[in-house]
Amino acid sequence: MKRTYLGEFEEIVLLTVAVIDGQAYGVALMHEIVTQTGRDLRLNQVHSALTRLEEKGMVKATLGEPTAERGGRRKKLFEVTAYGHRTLQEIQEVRDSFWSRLVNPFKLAVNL
Amino acid sequence: MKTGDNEQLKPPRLADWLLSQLCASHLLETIQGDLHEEFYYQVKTSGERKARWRYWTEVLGFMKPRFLKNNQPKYASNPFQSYDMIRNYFKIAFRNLAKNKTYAGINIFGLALGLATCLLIILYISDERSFDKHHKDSDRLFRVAISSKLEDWSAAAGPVAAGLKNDFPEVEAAARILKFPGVEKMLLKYRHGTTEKQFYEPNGYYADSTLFDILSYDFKYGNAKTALNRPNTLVLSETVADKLFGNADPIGKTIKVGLFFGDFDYTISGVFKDNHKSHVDAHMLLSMQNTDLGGWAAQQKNWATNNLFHTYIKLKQGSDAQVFETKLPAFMNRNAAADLKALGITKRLFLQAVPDIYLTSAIGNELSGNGSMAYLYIFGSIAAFLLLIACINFMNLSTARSEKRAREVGIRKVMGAFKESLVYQFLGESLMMSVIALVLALAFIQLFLPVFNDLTDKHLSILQHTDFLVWMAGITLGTGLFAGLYPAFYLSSFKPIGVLKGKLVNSISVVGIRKGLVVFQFTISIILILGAVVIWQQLSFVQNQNLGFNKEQKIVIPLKNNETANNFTVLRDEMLSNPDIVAASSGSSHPGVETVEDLLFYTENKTINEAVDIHFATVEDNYMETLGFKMVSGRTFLQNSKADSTSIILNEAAVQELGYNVQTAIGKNVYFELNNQKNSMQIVGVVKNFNFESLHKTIKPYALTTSITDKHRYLIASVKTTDYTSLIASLEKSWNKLNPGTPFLYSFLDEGFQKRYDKELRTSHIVIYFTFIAIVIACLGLFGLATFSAAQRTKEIGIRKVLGASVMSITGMLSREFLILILIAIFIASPVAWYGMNRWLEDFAYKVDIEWWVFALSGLVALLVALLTVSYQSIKAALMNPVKTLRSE
Repeated sequence: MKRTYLGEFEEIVLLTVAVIDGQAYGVALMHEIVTQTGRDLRLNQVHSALTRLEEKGMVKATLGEPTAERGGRRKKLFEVTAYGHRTLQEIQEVRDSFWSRLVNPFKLAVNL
Repeated sequence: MKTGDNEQLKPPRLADWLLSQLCASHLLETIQGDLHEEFYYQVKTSGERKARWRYWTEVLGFMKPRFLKNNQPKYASNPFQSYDMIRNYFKIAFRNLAKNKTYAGINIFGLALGLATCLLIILYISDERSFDKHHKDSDRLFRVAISSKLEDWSAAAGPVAAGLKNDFPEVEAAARILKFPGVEKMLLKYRHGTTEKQFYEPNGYYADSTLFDILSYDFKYGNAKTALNRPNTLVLSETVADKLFGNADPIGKTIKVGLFFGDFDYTISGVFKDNHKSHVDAHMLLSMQNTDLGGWAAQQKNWATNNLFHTYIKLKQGSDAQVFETKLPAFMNRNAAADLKALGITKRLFLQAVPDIYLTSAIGNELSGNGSMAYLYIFGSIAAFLLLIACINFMNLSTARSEKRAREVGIRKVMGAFKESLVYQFLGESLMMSVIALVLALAFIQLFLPVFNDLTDKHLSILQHTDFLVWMAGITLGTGLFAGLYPAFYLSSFKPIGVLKGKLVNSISVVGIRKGLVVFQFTISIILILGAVVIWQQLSFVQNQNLGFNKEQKIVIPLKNNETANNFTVLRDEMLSNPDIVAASSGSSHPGVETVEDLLFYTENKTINEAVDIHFATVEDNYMETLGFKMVSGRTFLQNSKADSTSIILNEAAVQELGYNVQTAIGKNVYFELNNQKNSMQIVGVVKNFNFESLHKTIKPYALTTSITDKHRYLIASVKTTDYTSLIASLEKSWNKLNPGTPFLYSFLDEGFQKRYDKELRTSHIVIYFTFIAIVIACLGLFGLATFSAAQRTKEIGIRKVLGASVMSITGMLSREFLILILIAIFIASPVAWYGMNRWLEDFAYKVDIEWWVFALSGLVALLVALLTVSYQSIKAALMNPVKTLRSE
């Protein structure tokens, strides 16, 4: 099967879209990723990732309701497409199969 | 920073501007929204300064090719956002037009004709509706009219205006306009140095100084508030002022106004612009205080007689006109009861809203010929129907020829087009057609506007009303959508599998609808033909009706001032020396103009309470012979008889109203009161009823005398010549010799009558033109359908010919299906037209009967025209060589 290329950041964004299903738009996604990973993010990075995901057909966008704090502008809400779901699943399967074959699983170093 | 200011807090303006300039437009909304939302979040969590800094870095972060302009998405989610698709739609639309030039031509030409007539009518209607809409506080302006047993009358007695103002606090202002009977034209003279300008000017009215508090006029020179305050002042319209003074400011200049009883000096105190239309079509307004009629006007204290003053009032803000109207009977009882009782009549006052007068009021003594709402409705509906006929052509031709485009629809659907996008595509195409038609229609309008202006006696132009542009856009859009809606949904509903297999797509219901629409088109056309025929019949009936006298070959010369009236005898004698002139007479009125003079006459042993209102004219003794009136009994006036000064001749209607018999009336006396004196007159003759105004009205009681008023107002000459030019020239020569101070003016008696039917004549011409256009458009559609039908059946015709069918039988076969539709239309149209035309004829006192042959004729015309249209295609198809049509396949 043809390998689907998904960058690490794209994967995180895609997962986040899947997690906060229904309310996934730029700012919300960024805040979620920041709280979950503690990375320092800029909106343009999130947007770039989302655009690439959209081009790859893993997410699709609809325009949401305008809100006051956005100056009456609409949100671009994303949801994961069937293809996106499958890709995420495949990635997970690949990782799982590697993890299951790990002879000497890493242990958390408690007493260093 | 106070927290309360958070609402005012805005992200850095410059950064925002930069973003909006550089960011791709389809991304801007969501990106900017996210940025703003994040900004306010940052302000809350880390303060404004940091938030601003961060905003800048965010914006700069978006300066990447991915987000910048010129980076459009490859595929739009909607085909109408895609340049390529739109280009494709246009290309296909134009190819279709170019490929089927006949059909495209029929559609566009028909739509353009329909649009052009529709827009012309809209111009006309908006012009008619613009009357009296410019007055300030126009909702509070009313005319006070009177209603009596006989008729409604637009003018009231002299003291009514002042009485209303005195008695009612809610009347803010009141004013009168006086159109004095017999003064249709005033002779204006202006001497400047050695040159003197003089000409007759119509529509000069006397007015109270308060008139401009009620009706608004835009003054070019002078002040409306004070213009008519002083006696003997005069306000001119811009046009009249131009004729007299050129463009110069004429305020303070003095001109002479010539009336039939003398010349009077007036000082110009104002010039108003001609920019607004009003039912008060004044060219000049003269101060009611003056030395000519002022004395008479000031004496008018009687509440019952001389109802010549058009009375206008302005109510105070907040007062209810209906409530005010209910107080008027009490007002009349208070003031007018005595005067009315003396005359033995009753009168009721009522209000007419000034903005509505022009279109809705047609009562006695109107200042000018008013418009008519009914005609606006008639024209409006005709225009709408014309457009509808053109739209139907479009629908029929599109659906009939749908097979040609069915493959395209199939392919598009297979390639992934949604039904919606196909609907939009076809609607867009019909819109494009209507826009092309509009361009052509505008050319038509420019071409036909002079003709139309001539027909309607108006000065319309496309850019006159700004509303017109809105109407134009609206109607074009509406036409495009309406005409395209049915074909769009029909075409886009094709199933790709069936269509691509080549299955016949014309279902029975669609054919039925198409036939129904053709029937509808021709029903309207036939109704219009019927209407045109009946209108034409009625008008020729009216014009050739025996009026009770001879109106042919009569010249009328108005004697408008003392000089000409005094010279009457000399002028008459000089005229009679011309062998072409058979007889000459004079009178205070003549048939064809409105007779306003009336008195109450009563018979022996009766009082004024039982009197009959009789209009009358004072005439020379040979008036009856000159005009050729027919006597029923008694005699006409004797030549130069002193005794006849107390003689009166009545018409049959008057004799009947007075309670006499035509034979026994001769020798009886009738009485009337003038200036509080009882006068007696002896009936010497009874004249056969004659129509002295128009055939709209039934004949009212009428009398002729030789003494009551001034008889030298019109000279009427009976002539016998074929060379009118030289006759008029010789008349003018005699006139100028005798009356050097007055311009020569003449008219023909039958012209005066013609003018009474002006409105009908104009209407009939417009209806006839429209009928013609309707038939043209309907036939265009029929031609298109016949062409299509013949083209579709070429193979069938070929086989029929091979098997021995004659040209005649094939032509008949092809024509029959259309002619049946026309026959159905005739049956639907006839009763509708019969009903409508009877309603129209109700306006006339004398009218034609609508006979059966009118229906037969109209039906035949429609049938013949349709047959001609269809047969061209049918014969062409029938004559085709079967070898050619059957060769391929």
